Amino acid sequence: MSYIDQDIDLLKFRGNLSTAFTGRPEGEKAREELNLDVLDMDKFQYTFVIPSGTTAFNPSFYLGLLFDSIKNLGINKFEEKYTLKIGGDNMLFKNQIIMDIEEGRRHALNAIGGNTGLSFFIKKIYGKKN
Amino acid sequence: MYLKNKEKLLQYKREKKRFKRKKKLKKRSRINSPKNTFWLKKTVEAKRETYLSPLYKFLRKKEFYSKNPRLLTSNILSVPRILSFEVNNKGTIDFLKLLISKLHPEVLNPSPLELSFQNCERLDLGALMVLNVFIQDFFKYRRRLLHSFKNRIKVREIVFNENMNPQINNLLFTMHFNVKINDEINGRVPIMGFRLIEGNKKLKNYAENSKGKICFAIRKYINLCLNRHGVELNPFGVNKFDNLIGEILNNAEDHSKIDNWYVYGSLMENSNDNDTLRTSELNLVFLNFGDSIYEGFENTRKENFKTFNEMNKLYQSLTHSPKLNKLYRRFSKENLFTLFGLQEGYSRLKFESESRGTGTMSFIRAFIDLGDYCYHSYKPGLFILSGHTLVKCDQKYKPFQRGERYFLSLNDEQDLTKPPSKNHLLNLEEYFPGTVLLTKIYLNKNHFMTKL
Repeated sequence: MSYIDQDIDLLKFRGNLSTAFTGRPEGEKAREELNLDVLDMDKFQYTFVIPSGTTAFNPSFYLGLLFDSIKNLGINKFEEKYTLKIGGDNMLFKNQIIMDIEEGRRHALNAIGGNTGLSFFIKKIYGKKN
Repeated sequence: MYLKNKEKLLQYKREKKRFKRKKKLKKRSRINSPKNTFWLKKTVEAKRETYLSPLYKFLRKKEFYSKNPRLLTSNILSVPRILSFEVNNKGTIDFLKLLISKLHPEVLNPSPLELSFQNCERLDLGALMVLNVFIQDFFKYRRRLLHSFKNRIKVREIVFNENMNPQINNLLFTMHFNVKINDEINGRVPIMGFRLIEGNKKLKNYAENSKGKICFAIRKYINLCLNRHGVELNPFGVNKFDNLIGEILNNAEDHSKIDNWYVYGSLMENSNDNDTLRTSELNLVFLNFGDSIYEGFENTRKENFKTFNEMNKLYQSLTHSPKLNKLYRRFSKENLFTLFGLQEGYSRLKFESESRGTGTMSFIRAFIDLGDYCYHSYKPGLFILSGHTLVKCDQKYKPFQRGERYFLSLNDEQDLTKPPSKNHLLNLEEYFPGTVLLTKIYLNKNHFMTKL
């Protein structure tokens, strides 16, 4: 899949007087407005531009925006199709936001894998009983 | 001729004024006539219900009001000696129920309600915040009625008895109650805080996303607190606080049954500390009214059957086991479900989206990262009160990782198949109709020079 790369600016979804992307409903609204369900199926590549001045990219917003895409495409195709670029020159903030994105990705993969927390402990009990 | 006309003009003006005066008097007497007063009362009674706030209606639906007729007759409300959900749960809840019963239903009572803190010796911020929210809600209700009836009705006033412990006085001051700060005391004094913030979850468009704005405002406030120690948040600190506050607000909004959620913050310092030793206590309180964490899972057991079944399976294994059930005797089903519900991947709203269940553990972990300054009596804590359950997190029992997930077991073994600490998971006698989250962090210059 090597087609034209298009930028998607996320600035307007950050909210007035806000420096953080936060909230699942906000992420879902952004997804709806960007029509990502349709974009998932096309052959183009996209880059989400996280605007400079952003201080946090909460996992909730990440999941609201991108979980369905990861689920529909699978993580490998998702990462080929979509990238996230962080604007601005402040490397310290950029590193923090990269960690936020990693956190969101971890949650998404856990959910898709059906890895719910308590199953480990339930197996432990039933393993002991057997 | 000219003079005659002038006289006639003057006479005409006098008669016109006389007529206007008569008309005014007639109108006044009509308004205050017994017949009109009767109809006014009828109209007010009918309209009262429509002006009630969603918060009051929700509390009424949950039967969060006093049913004790003996207590309802008095116009003096005495705050109990200890107003704390943790230490005096029954007394605190009973007091709040009585307060609600004396406010909205008695809005037309001409006798003022006296609120007395004379006997109060301990006042926890969570309980104080709830008290403040109820009073503010009542004031808004009162204003709506007065505006609607153009001040033709008399509404209940609240007056404060000024006799109280100076520490209590200063705590009330931090909540912007109508008291003056008492800076001659030894001990904790308030330094700065922000007014109760009321967030609204009706999202019209992105620009009106109040969570982002409020998150930014709270972080600015925290920076002001840090500036007192000659430092400010670095990118790590900014990111952590934005994540912490953002996730807490997301949670409060998601689980609120009414459109509003509430935030409050205050900074306290010990008046005896010198510049080197000075440690500030930063309190942030988040509040939403709705189903408790446990109720949320019970009420969605059909939709969330996989999640609920897993929690139930673990619960049954632990409490029905002959070896283990003694250890779990002090914990109710609600307590354990609340603890299980805090784990990563669990959410009352899981049926809406399978990726839900990230927020709670995220904010607990962020808090643990930020609130690690601990010295003598300065012990940071994160408290979650929901329904009949109180969860206490601190540096002793932190989230731990197993595989790709984080867990919180509140025990030394880091094992959810072992009982939690009885001091960290508490069963409360009385029910609270919502969730209160309180974070208490200590800021000390020497400590966070290396950290934040």
